Amino acid sequence: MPDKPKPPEPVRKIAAPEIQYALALSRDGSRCFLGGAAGTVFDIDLAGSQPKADPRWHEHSYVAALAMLEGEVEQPALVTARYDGSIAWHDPQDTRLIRRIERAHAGWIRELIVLPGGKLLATAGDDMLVKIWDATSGKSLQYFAGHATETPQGYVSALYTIAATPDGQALASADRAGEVRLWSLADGTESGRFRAADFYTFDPEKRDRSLGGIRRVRFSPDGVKLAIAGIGAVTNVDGFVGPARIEIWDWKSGQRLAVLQDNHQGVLNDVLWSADGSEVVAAGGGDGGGVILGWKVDGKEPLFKVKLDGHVQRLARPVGGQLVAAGHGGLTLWDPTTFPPLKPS
Amino acid sequence: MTKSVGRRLFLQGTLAGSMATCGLSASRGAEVPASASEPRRQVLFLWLAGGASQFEMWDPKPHRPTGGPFRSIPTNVPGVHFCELMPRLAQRMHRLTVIRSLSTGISEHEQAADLMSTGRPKEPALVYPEIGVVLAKELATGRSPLPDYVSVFRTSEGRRKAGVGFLGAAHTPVHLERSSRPENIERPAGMSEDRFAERESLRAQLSRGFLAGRAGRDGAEQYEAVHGRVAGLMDSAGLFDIEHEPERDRERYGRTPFGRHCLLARRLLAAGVPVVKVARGFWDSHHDNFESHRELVTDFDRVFSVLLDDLAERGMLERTLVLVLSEFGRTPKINKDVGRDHYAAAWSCALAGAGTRPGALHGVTDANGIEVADGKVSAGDLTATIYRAAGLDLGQHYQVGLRPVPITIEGSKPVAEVLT
Repeated sequence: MPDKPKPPEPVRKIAAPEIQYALALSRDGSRCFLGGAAGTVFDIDLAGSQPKADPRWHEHSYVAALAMLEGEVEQPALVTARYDGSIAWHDPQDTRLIRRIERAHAGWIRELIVLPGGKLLATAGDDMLVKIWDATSGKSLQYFAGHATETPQGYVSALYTIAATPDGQALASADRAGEVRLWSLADGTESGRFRAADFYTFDPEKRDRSLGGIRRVRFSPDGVKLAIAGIGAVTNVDGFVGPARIEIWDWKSGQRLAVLQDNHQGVLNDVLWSADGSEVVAAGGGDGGGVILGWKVDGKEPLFKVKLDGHVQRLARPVGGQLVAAGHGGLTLWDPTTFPPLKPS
Repeated sequence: MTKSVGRRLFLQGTLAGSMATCGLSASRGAEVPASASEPRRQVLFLWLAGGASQFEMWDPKPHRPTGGPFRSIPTNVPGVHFCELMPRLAQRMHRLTVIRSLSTGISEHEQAADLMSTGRPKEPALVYPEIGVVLAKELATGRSPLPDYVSVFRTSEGRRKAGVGFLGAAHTPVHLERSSRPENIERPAGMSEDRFAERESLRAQLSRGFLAGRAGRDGAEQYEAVHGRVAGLMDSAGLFDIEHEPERDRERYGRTPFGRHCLLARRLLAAGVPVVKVARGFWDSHHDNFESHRELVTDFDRVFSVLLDDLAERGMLERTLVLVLSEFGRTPKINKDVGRDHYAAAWSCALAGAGTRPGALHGVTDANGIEVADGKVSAGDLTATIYRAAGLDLGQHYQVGLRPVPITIEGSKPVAEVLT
């Protein structure tokens, strides 16, 4: 059995107030934007010698997700998605508001992604809809409906996450009850669904709530597998007591390929694949505190575990760069080479 | 035989309580002082165990550092806003009374639940009855075969049996914990109705013989009364079955446990049970407070709105005092786990129905909800408010041995602004 590597230390901590839920990187990885509970969008020059979080503008709601538009569109923009259901385009240079859609979703927006090709955006909200937008005009092009508004026990559900296959042909969305739906962008239909039931906990006496949910889905670089992040069986409602959990699925066949679970008590809010698709790194937090975990996809035990002070909400990894983790109190940067199993891109 | 244990234990406990209560002279002001023309008042407690957040319910602070992600929405009473998680209740503020200035000091679950349940801090020398027990004693007719107090507490977190204190176990509520109907209220298997009646007749005859001519027989009489209650309970088994309710009402209340329990509560109240408590646990949101409250408050908003409408439509609201209460509220500070912790310095509760002033709002917290800025209300004040709304005489007291014990703690005052 190989020795576990020594827990790494962050290369840098960049403070930003309160909880940062949203993170977007420029394509070259030199620039990072943050947004979260304070409603302020921060700009960080990661290439600078002393990067710090510069407040750029203020949104009057929690910022749930950010996406950078550059390259394929005429007007570069930073798109913000908010809990109040609106999305907005800002010029990342002068912060000018380009466009705002006030009622993009009837409910919190949980996720915003740029689809491969860079010309379309996808959002997921607590109206349980996945919506497709023209990235340049902001025109609503398509929507996908089907996720139940309530959990099987009648509580309000949430649509936490969406992801797109690398070829941009399919989307996956996942909800609080552990249901994953697959959508074909080409013909605008649902192409499949399955339930990752172990991400959902309900017990009418000891935990009379619909708990857990799938907090993030991400397709593998080859588009064949889907990583699902969240929490396993919750044993105490108050403090997110339940095992940090990842499942790997063959999404086309609806077959679960692997369960990657750790005894760290907490929910995994985000997951990333390594460039070769052999490993995943995930992060979150809970009763055991904040955590970053890494696994071989075909492994059982985590390759590494880094404990943090507060929850991590988002992960990103710029090409050839550091691992970026956003959450409570700002951003931490990690050198992937200190995570031996996690190969630099 | 476990079949009879529940009933036997109930009787044993009650007898012990009856004896223990012999030192209680029950010196009190009067029966319920509501005028003879008014129907007897009833009380429904909705207990949000674990501590519901005032920010995500009754006292939103949007766009403040403490406010969290939810917006506030106007209610149908001008100038009063609720958290956006309560759109239905916002349209029913005209039926509600909200106190935003509870300041109760204790932020540990057990101690705080004791405080809010009795209206007083614990004393080593005397165990006080819970508010619901006092109300049940005072509001009961004494002639009903139904229980005076039914407590529905199906979830394990925060579950507690209502403390009868010095009033004695004769006032023990029927606790529904494992099922929505009392356990062991069927006749023993194999015993015919006639055989059961014969046994009861013999027991009653022996009991009457024992009582005849004896002095100091309070305890034995209470024992006899409790037997009558058990018989009444056995005859009322159908009362606890909400499947007897029309499908429309079952659909209206919804399929969540809280909805089903509130429908049961309305059914019990309609049948004449004086006091009912429905507890809903898992509000203790140290982590993920906003996801928790998004789920819990949404359900609460839907169910409580239906309940208010149902009580009003049936003409029951004007005689039923409804209280929404926790042991404390939650911190203004949002912690690193996206949670809120325990907070008793400035929090909220709501009332509706009998004795309350519809649409009234009492108390103000500061801009960030950290302190009470005006109209501070203590646990004792709230207790006095509850008793006054229920029609009790606040001047009355119980004589416990040589000690007269007022029903509210000394110095407490009802909140006049929320009372009719």
